[in-house]
Amino acid sequence: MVDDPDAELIKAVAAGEPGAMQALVARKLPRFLALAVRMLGDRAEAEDVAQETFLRIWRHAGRFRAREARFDSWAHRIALNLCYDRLRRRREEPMAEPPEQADPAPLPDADEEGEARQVERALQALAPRQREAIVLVYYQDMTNRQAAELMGLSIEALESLLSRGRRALAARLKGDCDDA
Amino acid sequence: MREGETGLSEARFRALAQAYGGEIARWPGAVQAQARAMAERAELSAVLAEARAVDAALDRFALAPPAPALAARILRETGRGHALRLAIRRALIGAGLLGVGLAGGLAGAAAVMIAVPPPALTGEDGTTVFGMLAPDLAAADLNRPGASPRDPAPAMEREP
Repeated sequence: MVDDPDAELIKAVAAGEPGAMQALVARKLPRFLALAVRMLGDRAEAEDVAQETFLRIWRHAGRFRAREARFDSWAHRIALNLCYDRLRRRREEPMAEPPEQADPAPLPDADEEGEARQVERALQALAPRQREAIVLVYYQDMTNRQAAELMGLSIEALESLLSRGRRALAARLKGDCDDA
Repeated sequence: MREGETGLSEARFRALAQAYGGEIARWPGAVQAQARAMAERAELSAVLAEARAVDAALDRFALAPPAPALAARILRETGRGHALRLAIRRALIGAGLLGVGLAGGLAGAAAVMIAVPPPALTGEDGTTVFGMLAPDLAAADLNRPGASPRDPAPAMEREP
């Protein structure tokens, strides 16, 4: 049996116990929203993804098998699939206006918000799998084993994605700083 | 070197710093103690400092917490789904009870048909809805040449 701190709560959600869904949203919404914002670089889209993630969790809670996976990994997979659906749709449907995060121009200000946006843009410029690896390990605090399992990779492959992603990020940020 | 291994080369130290960053606490547990000891060396300390610069950049991308309205929206949607699910469940239970009632009625009717003999279709005088009943023998005699249903067969001859 997988040691899962969320197992009892998801069981209560599946049983339709009053207050269980509210407790789950309070516990997990910041985490799933952060995942989606960093994967998509668009808060409104990320909020839609977070909402759909919870709806799917609620619908399929009865099918969740605590012996096979941790709830957090299972729910991350749902959220990531929704993020990739959106990223795919962006590629297939050329937009009249390019997404804000794709803009390569350096920001004129170097204040805190400006720096955050620089990092956000640098992160969005990475290949999605590199971004996913960094988001899962660095921001979502997953262990290398959890992240590798979630991504369907070996730990070696995960480490390779992390290294390349961090190198590309550093290079881009350096370029931004040089341009500024 | 991977999780569970006992030695840590300098090249692997650098690779871990590039992958997991400059905080050894984020590295695989099996190598942390050895990595901390190795980090005393100046050249490896510089590797960690370089990785920490990337960590610091990543930390700058902080996020505002979710708006309470988003949580409310999610709970409203799942609540709506919950109400619908309850309504469907109640409807199915109602339909199930109705089905059980109908099945019970049909089973009772079938039992009555099997257990109770059918009402007599013959009258006292041997008439039926299909006509007069004749004894089997008489029916056989109808096959006699020239016999007619109105010409009853003669009584059987008996041996003295």
